[in-house]
Amino acid sequence: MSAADMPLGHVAIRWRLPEGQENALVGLRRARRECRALLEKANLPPYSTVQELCERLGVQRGRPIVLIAREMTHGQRSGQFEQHLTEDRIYYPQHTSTAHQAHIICHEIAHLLLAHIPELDALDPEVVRLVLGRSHYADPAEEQAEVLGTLLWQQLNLAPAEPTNAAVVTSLEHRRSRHV
Amino acid sequence: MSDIIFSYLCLFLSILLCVLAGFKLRAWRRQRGPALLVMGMAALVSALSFLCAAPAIAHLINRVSGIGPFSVLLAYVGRMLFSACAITLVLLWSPPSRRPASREVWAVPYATVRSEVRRKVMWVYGLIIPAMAVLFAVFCPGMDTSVALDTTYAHRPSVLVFLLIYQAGFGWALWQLGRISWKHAADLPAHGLLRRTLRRLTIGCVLIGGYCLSKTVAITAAAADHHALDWLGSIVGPLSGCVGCLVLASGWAGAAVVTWRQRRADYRALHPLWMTAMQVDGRLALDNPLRPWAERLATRDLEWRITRRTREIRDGQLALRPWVPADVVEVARRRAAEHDSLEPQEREAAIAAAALAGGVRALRTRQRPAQHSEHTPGTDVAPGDERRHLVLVSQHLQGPFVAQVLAETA
Repeated sequence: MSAADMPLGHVAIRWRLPEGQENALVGLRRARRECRALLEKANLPPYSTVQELCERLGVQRGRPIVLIAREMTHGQRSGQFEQHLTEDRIYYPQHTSTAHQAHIICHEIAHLLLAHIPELDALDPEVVRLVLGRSHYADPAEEQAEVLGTLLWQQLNLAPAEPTNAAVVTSLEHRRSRHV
Repeated sequence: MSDIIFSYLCLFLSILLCVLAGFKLRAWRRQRGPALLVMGMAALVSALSFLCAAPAIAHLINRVSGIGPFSVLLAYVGRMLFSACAITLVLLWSPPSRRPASREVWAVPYATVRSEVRRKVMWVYGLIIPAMAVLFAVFCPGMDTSVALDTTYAHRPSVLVFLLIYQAGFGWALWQLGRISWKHAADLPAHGLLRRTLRRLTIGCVLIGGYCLSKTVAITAAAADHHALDWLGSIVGPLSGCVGCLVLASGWAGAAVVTWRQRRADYRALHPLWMTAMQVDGRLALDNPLRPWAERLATRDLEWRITRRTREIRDGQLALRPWVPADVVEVARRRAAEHDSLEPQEREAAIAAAALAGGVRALRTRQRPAQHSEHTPGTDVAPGDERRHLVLVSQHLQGPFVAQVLAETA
């Protein structure tokens, strides 16, 4: 479907790095360090759920972020971000586990936190995947978003311990939440 | 206790506590939890305290400084700093008086804790330590450093006050830490790792408290010129303290070590399932796969590695969904229902493994099923059970159950 055929206000998105960062495929270690530093500055709610995270980001951006589960078709990306006139939407696959859904949503959120530039996705996703070559993460924007998305997912509170023992779990078991 | 044996014991504990401090501080660098920082600092000051208490090092310190039993002051101040850290830990671990929504409990109320730390820790120990230093300055000139301070000189008022303030400050911190650990343990299910760990902390605090009690009894008796109980202060107390320190240190490190070992076991157990996902689509991996020997030796960064592995496994499972024949899932469910001995989690994992294997077979032979399974088995697991579920799936992948299902649907 070309941009001209798309209903008014519906724009499918793919991403590229901000100006000056093109081709910035740094090593994974450095990418993780940089993403960790970014997360510390991001002022996100501590130990939040995915919904809470989207609510906070929606408030920060002045546009609500709506999460929509969908049936994935063959060749389609597992997660997708769309900008609409009054809201942003993140689509995630229906037929997978809650933890995986959260991870996919975190990947899309990571694109926003990294200030990646959205572009109209006019190409057939199958063609895009073939063009990308070795890995789905050969694209620098996708790699960066996946690194930050993974770190973000690790910080979520998807499986909280009992409230009275939360602080003890962190300091004795060295983990924030039981899903990590 | 013989000076040589006590020296070795103190040096051993000092090294152990340094390792514990490094362990906790490394975890703090990754997670930034304030309790981890406090535990690291507590272990470090305790390590220095034991170092100063080792007779061989104590003689060296006293000789070099030229100030009477200076090593005693250093050791005792180290324990006061440990006590300050212990009370801070108690404040961080104390549940809030009201019950907020569960997600908020993970966020430490720094403003509240900071003001309580100022009130209960900095003021209290901020007064105790200078008071001890002043008293030491009063009584130390001309003191014979070859004899035990606490029983030989307990009759002097300044020494007695010095020793009792020290024991009170130390004992109070141990009491609070033991109490909060016991309280938390009581809220946890029986036989759990965390409950056992917290009970161990309580036992450690009680044993170290035995040191305080023995010393206090011996000091009080010596102050009244009764030296029949000196052995309490010179043998029982130090032994109890050393054993208690070992127990407490094992509690502080034990749960994290068990967690690490479980992570390592899970990481290796997920390998076959991950390799299957890579067969579905090798481009799903964010990083290059490790060589087999590196895979076997992987001990660091396990949280990240496991997270990536589970993500990529689920991505592979999602990509494989159109290839999973509905009849394979149906047969797997029927066969699993016949196995009464299987727990529900095992059953679901076995069905998921059979579905995955069926999908991979269809993909390899390029025979897309006329009807693929609408509902992917094993996707209803809670986030906290996700890793456990995938480990079970991995274990079943090469097992007889999956082989039976594949044979029946060939």
